[in-house]
This record gives sequence, C-alpha cells and structure tokens, in this order.
Amino acid sequence: MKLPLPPKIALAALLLASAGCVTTPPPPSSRVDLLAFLADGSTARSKVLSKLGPPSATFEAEKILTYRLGFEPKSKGYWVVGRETDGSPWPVWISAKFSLVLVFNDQGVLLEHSLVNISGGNP
Amino acid sequence: MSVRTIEPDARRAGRLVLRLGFRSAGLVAVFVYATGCVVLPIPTPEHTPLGTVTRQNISANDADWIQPGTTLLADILLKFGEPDQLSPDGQTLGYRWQKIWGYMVIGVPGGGDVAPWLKEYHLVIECDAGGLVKNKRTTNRLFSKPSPQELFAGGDVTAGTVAADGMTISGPAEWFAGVAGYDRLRTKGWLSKAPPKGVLGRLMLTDNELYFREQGHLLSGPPVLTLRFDRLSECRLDKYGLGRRLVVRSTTGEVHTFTFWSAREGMEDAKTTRAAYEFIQFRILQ
Repeated sequence: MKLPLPPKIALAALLLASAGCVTTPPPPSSRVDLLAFLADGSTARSKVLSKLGPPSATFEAEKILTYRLGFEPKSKGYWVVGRETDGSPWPVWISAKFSLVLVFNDQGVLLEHSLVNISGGNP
Repeated sequence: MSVRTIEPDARRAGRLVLRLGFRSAGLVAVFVYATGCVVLPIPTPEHTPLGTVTRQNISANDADWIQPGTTLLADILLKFGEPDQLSPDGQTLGYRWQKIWGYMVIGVPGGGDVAPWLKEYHLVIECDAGGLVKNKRTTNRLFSKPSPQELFAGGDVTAGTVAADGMTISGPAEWFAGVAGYDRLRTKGWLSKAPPKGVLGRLMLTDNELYFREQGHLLSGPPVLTLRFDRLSECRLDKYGLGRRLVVRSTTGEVHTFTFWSAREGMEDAKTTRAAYEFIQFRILQ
C-alpha cells in the first residue's frame, strides 16, 4: 500500500515520539544516588576515589578534592564530567552544572562537603 | 536603520572593531571613515547571558565575606566550588564569570547586526602555604579577556619566560605528538592537505623533565605529557624558513615536536624555543 506523504510524516512523528527520540535522554551514567554514599565524619577518601574516579582538581596535598558534576533535572541524576574548554585558556561550564567539594582530615576521612550550583540556584 | 543579516565582509569588519576593543577613539574614527561601519554601544542594566558557559554563582559583591587573615581556602571552595584557574603553586584561585553589559549595534552600508557586549569579571584570591587567605581582588574587563596567568601575581607570563638562573623555561606552546619537526612540511610542502595539528597549552621545563599542560586545564592539574630528560635519546632544533621547532625523541622511539608561542604577539617565539633546545641539550649531555 502506498501511503500519501502526510500520513508518512505523521507515522514517522508517531514513531519518534513513542520511542522517546524527540527528547534528549539523560547520560547513561547519570545516577540519582551517585552521592548517597557521602557521609561527613565517616567516608574515606579511597572510597570516594573508587566511586567517583579521579577528581578534576585537588588542593592542599589532596586534602580537598573537587569534582564537576552534570545534572539531569528530570531524573535528578548526577554524573561526573571532566573539565571542558571552548578553545580559550579559560574552562567553561557546559555539561557540568555542579561542583562537588570534599574536605578530608589528615587521616583521609571526609570532614565536610558541599554541592555548589554553578548557575547560582539551589540544588 | 534596518537590522538584518549583513554580508560576510561587513560582518567581519564589525568583528574586527570588537577585537580592536576601541583602544582609541581615533582608531574608531579612522575605521568608520574607511569602512563606513558604525558601531553603537547601547548599555543596559547588567544581566546574565542566556546559555552562558561561565559560572554564575558569584557576583561582584559576593566576596565581601572573605577576610584576609581569617578565611581559609577550604571555606572558599566549599562556598564557591572549584575555581576556574589555579596558580602553579596552588595558592592563588581564579574565578571567572560574564555578564551582559549592553548591546552593540553594528551598522554597515545596506544592513546591520546586533550582538551582546559581554563584561568579564574575575575574583582572584591569594592564600598562604597554610591555606589562609592573604588577599583578594575583583577585577572586570569590558573589551578583552585576560589570560588566567595575567590575573595571577608573578609578572607577565603571556610569553615564554626563561628564569634568571637559566634552569627553568616555561611558556605558551604547541605540541605535535608523533611529528618530527618540519619533516612533513618538507616532504609535502605548504599546500599539504593535512598539516599536522598541534595541541595548544603550556610547555614547562624543570631540571629533570619537560611537561606539557593542555590549554584550559588547571595549572596545577596533571600534565598531559611528561618526559624525563634522562629518557631522551635526541634533542634538536629544526629550522624551516623563520620557523623554529624543538624536536625530542625518547629512548623508546617516541617523537614529539614543540613550538613556543608568544601569546602577546600571536606568533612563534623562536627565542624561547631555542633556549629550550639548548637547555635540554645541556641536560642530556650531562
């Protein structure tokens, strides 16, 4: 059966919509519970490194680690992203919307952490 | 004046005006006279650009709580997040954000264009070795974007520098992995369809090794390339016309080529490239 053009377009649109192709899916690594393991006073630095991988920056002899995190508002999931540039010497914040800051004591136990919204709003 | 899409040449002329940055009114007058291009700045209340790629969690007054002698580096990181830049000694943080200062109406014969006029803000915080804030300053620029190094103390690092004792060399550079100087250019000529593409960043030489950090990465972050001098079998200075490239080959056969750049002049820095060659050669022969 030969369909006229408009029904073909309608069919394609229906297929796209039903397949979810018209929206940008969250990255596969996006996880709602990505940071759930963090507990001030008990989480070890080694656990952070094994769960989140290498940090994007370290400070004070690795007593402070920072990670850049992407955020998917619909699923409220986070994922770790690397530093991004646009060709200038200054990095940019495109995929990364949050900066996770982790402060450890001399024994490598998490003392304090914060999740900073780079766009200025609240998490 | 009607606002519509303008021809590429006129658009380029308008962008040239922006790049020149209105360093002098006379220059603008000459430009207007010569090209017929008029640029009209329209200031607006400062506001956040849509789809900005810079951070927006800091504003000019947000640093008031930072007290030199009291505030700790950790406090700043916990409040503002990871800085955009860090000095090589890890003690100076640089945060950057942009606001729209106004709009620019560019008029050329037959049309025009409108573009946002961005203002660059920077918060620079210097700490001591113990992580205590020593001082802070907020700066802004309307017509140019400073390099991260310009904001940090320590002088001009927009060009290659050779330390007074001749022991360290550092500067903006381009790195060509797997390329031996100008060899490909010599065999294929300037019209080569696929000239080797380099990685822009910063080349630094210490007593024992050279390392390269890619542009845009934290200055204190891990380098993308580290080569120990005692693992090098060859170091030479390749010349092609006025160009100079530093070529090193490791004992395992890897070859790397570097060219220092003068960021200020936007051209190859042959003097620093030669200094780097002589330094590495000296270290290899030791």
